[in-house]
Amino acid sequence: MELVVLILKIYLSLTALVMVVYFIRHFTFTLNRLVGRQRIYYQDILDSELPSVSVFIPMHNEEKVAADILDLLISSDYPQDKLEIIPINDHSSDKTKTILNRYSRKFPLIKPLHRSKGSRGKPAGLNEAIQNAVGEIAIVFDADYLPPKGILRDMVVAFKDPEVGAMMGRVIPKNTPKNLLTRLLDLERSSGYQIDQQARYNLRLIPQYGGTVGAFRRELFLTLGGFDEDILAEDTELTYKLFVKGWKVIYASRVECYEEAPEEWPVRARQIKRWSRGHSQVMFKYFWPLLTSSHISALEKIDGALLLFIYSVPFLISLGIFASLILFFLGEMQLIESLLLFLFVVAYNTFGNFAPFNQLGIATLIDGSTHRIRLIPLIFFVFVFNLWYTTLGFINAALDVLFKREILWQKTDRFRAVSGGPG
Amino acid sequence: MKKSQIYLHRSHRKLSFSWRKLLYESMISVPVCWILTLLSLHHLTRAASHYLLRLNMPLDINSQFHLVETPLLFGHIHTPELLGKYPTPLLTYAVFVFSILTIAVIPKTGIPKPISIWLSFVCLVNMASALFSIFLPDLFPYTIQAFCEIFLKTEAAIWLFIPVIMSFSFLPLPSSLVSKFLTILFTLIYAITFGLVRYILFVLVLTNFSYLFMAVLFFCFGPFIDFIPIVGVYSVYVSYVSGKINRDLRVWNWSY
Repeated sequence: MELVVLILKIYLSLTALVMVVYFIRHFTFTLNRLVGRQRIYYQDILDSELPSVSVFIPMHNEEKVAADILDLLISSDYPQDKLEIIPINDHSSDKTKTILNRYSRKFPLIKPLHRSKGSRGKPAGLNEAIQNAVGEIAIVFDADYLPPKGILRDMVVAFKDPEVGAMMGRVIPKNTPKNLLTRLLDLERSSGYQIDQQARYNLRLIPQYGGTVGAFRRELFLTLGGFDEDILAEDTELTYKLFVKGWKVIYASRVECYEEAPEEWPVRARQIKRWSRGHSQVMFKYFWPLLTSSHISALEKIDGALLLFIYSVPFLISLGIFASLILFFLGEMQLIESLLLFLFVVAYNTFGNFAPFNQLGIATLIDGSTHRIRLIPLIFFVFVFNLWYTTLGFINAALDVLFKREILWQKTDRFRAVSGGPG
Repeated sequence: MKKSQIYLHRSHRKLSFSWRKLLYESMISVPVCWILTLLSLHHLTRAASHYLLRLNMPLDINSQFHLVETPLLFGHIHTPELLGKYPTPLLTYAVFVFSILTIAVIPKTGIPKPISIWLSFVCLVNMASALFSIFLPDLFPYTIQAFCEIFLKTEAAIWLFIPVIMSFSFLPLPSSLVSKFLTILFTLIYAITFGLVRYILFVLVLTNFSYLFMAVLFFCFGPFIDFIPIVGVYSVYVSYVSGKINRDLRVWNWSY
């Protein structure tokens, strides 16, 4: 029994140390973004020699949103002779195919790819579409996104820098006022982009390609072998693939695009579980290549490892709570009477959670969303919710690795009313 | 529409900052709050524990002799020696069955998922406690006094960290030191009050109902929820600062 107690105490102490590390990371990023020197994007570069661009829009049963994004891309200010738009109709059973065909008849630059055979999912669809495209730069939007007129030009200018393999813009929920969930998700997005991504970019660490409102070099992508179709987070996979090979991913805070955030908790649950599972799959695959790559600096390696492990932290915390419960019933709570008192408090109580809250507060302050800041205490419930579903996602990823399970892609449900079509 | 003033875009707004100012302001806020907390810890825990003794043993005129003094950092805390109630078999089985049923039924109700997960966690802890009481009823390892000591020490640690963490969070913000200090002090007073009120309530539950609920009180309603009022005060203050500086171009810098 003494051995069990010792193991549990060591585990708790290590988990608490991990939490302290993430706590420092959150504070460093927040302070850097609020008061540090900001690294700006390339949007002020004007260049008449624009590269050819292929815009990819993965779609699975997207009849509610398909027309909106196509209308907006058609009205983009990017030269049409250098632009092709490839909506990927991935095994849709609704009217997505009809809508896409109607658009392609009217606008020749829209070249839909209809997929009804082979594996379904965003990575598989993108792999097939990108192979048959012609643009130098591949840009990806999810189907619910609403790209503004000048966004393509702003995105491709990053590739004037020969070191840049991919870029990522900022995602902003359009349906924020809809309900409490969308308001809370807006806070999370704000924190993720305004602080996390920008601070990583400022500090020359690992900004993440996020799979939508993002672009990458098409030839490079093909050279690197495309997306691993068994991984649910193809965006994180591409990020690490590029960094390991010596390419950079850059973040463009000024390049903003609206999205539709999930409006129902079960939809959000599926989304976060998928992210956690996919991200953890990447962790299992890329942790070692990250550590051994000669192209990555020590700081990038530390940040990259912390980013890879981020979805496993809720699993560690869940196990920690379980370990604390066992110690409690064994009468071993004297744990907190020693130096470990500090670690215990940081890990499971106020302040382990406070650093992300501070990040949310500062991100929203910079964004100027004065009233929304007051919703931050309600994130407590999101914390519990995320803890549960992220843990489930992590366990699924571990089982995927152990048993080589087949991955089924689950798309996020849309909430918008069905829009029209070409006039 | 013609704008009268163009504000800096949110993408690269930043505030000016001085490490010297941060350290100087922290050196005022943190020690003052620490001294106040450490000086009052002895009196506050004594008063709360004494109140509990009087509630539970109103006829015992020498109740102060039932207080246990335990050293903590540079001072002491006081905890009461009280007898709690062991759960009856009926109560234990009832809590066990109720917890299982709630965990099974709650996902099928319309309760929003974050709340249902939280309630399930509460039931899970209660279920574990009931199982312990069913199989190992004689091995329950705590007395009321031991529970009080653990709870008060954890709370005291949180109270001592409030000024540190809030100083680091507030001090880069463009507002007066006085307003920041008062907010930190208010948060500290609120947290101490919230902690002591829960302490009294928890002990009353344990003495009047059952030890069975000790685990759920500590794990679900103890230190775990301390951050809600702290984050609440923090968010109101940051929101106030945000409203003040939102339209003031002089406060914001751009990129460098």
